[in-house]
Amino acid sequence: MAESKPAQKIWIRSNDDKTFEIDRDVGERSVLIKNLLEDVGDADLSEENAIPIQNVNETVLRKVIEWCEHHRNDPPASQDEESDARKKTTEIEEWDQKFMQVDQEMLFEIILAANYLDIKALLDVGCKTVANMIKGKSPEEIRKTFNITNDFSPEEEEQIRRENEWAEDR
Amino acid sequence: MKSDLSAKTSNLTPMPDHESDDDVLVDYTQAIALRSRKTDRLKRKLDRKAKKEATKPQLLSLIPELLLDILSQLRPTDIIRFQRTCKLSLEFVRHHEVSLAKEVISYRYSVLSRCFPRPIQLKDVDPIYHPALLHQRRQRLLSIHRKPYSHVAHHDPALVCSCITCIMAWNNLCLVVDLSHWTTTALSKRQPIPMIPRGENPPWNVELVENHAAVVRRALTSPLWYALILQRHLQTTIFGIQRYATKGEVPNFELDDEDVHRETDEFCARSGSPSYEFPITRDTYYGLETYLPNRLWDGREAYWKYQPSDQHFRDLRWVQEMADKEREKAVQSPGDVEEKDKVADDSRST
Repeated sequence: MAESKPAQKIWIRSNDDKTFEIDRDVGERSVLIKNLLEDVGDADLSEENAIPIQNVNETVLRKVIEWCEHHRNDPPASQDEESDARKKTTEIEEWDQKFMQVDQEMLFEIILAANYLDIKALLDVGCKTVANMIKGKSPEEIRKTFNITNDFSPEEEEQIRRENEWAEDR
Repeated sequence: MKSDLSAKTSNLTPMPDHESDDDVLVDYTQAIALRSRKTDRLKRKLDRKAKKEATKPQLLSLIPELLLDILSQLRPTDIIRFQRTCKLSLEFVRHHEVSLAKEVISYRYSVLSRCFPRPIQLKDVDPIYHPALLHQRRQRLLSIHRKPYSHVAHHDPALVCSCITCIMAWNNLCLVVDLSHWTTTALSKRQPIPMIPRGENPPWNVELVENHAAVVRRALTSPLWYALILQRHLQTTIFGIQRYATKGEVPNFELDDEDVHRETDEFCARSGSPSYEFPITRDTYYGLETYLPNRLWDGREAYWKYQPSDQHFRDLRWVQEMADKEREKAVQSPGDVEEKDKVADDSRST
């Protein structure tokens, strides 16, 4: 049996019914889409039979596709956990920094979409962006940034502050 | 309309009959509930807005795996500050502290955690070793770790294992907390460290050493606080190397701005001179560049050899063997052992 030639274009559909035509290698940045493509087979791929992306709406999916297009030629993530851990820093490359300059709602939507679509590198960039928003801030500044309600009583707050005094930045 | 009004007024408390001009005037009227199409519309709009807000993803509504991913990118100080924001974050960090600290240590302080292992708590040591560890004779032998240091608290044998590895681990952690204190309060400001005359221990030092011991005691049970001590020592190490370089001397390790900015101990894994000599007084802090004990550089293989991870168990076996030998001796010639103990007790008291 002759092996069928892989399709260059694939179609994915957001949960609000918007269909996107994208290059296969762009779509395959997502492990979920890659696995689905293997399961579905090229013959069944068409615009009408687009891959449904259940948990992601049009706006977020468009943003995720933009990221995948920019990173389409990136080498696949290393399987070596140790070396992977050592490379972990809060450094984010410039293009990704600009890409992540979105409102907080969109930032968390991108993180959730990256997690659902299994795009590890995008998930890392999202988590690092949020981590950088926490880094070096006081508890009050963190609350303000993420709209967190302080539900400690003044006595509890003071006690926790005292217990953690040594952890304050010097 | 009339019946409406009577219904409303029937809820009111009746005024007392004996009312006089001197009585305090109390307003018993109740607020009439606002009700109109306009307020209903406004209420519905606000409800819809609140509902929409509630479905928006937020930091604390993320699934635990994602929140852990975010927090594991942070330094221990940032994690501790994050947990102070609200009860949910406090609970979250406490619940996931072990895995979170493990993740942070594995990529930020993988070298320092091997140079400064945590001492084992006595309650976590197999009880068969307890009599040997707590034996009067053994504790007397360990007095060498008590007397010379005015900057390090003596370990509590009821809390921490008394094998040599654990005692050294305790001393090392106390030392790096003390060193961090004096680096930030004196050395970085080019101020002198107050010297303590030989044989004296002023109250300020007693309090300081006890405060530092309390930090280490907390690190015994909290891996996040252990990571925090390592974070402080990384700062101290970077300061020491930079200070050395400004003096025009060749530093122990190559250290560039990127290493400093990265805030990990990756640079300590590069080749360099070993620095395992315990700073026995605060005097030595002035000339100390780095203190990274429990490892040696193997020039032939070009890598750092660390103390074996099972050293604590080896020490325990040795302590037990020694105790067994002493017991055998005591059975064979009880007088000798008693005499030795008496001499040791006398010399201790003097």
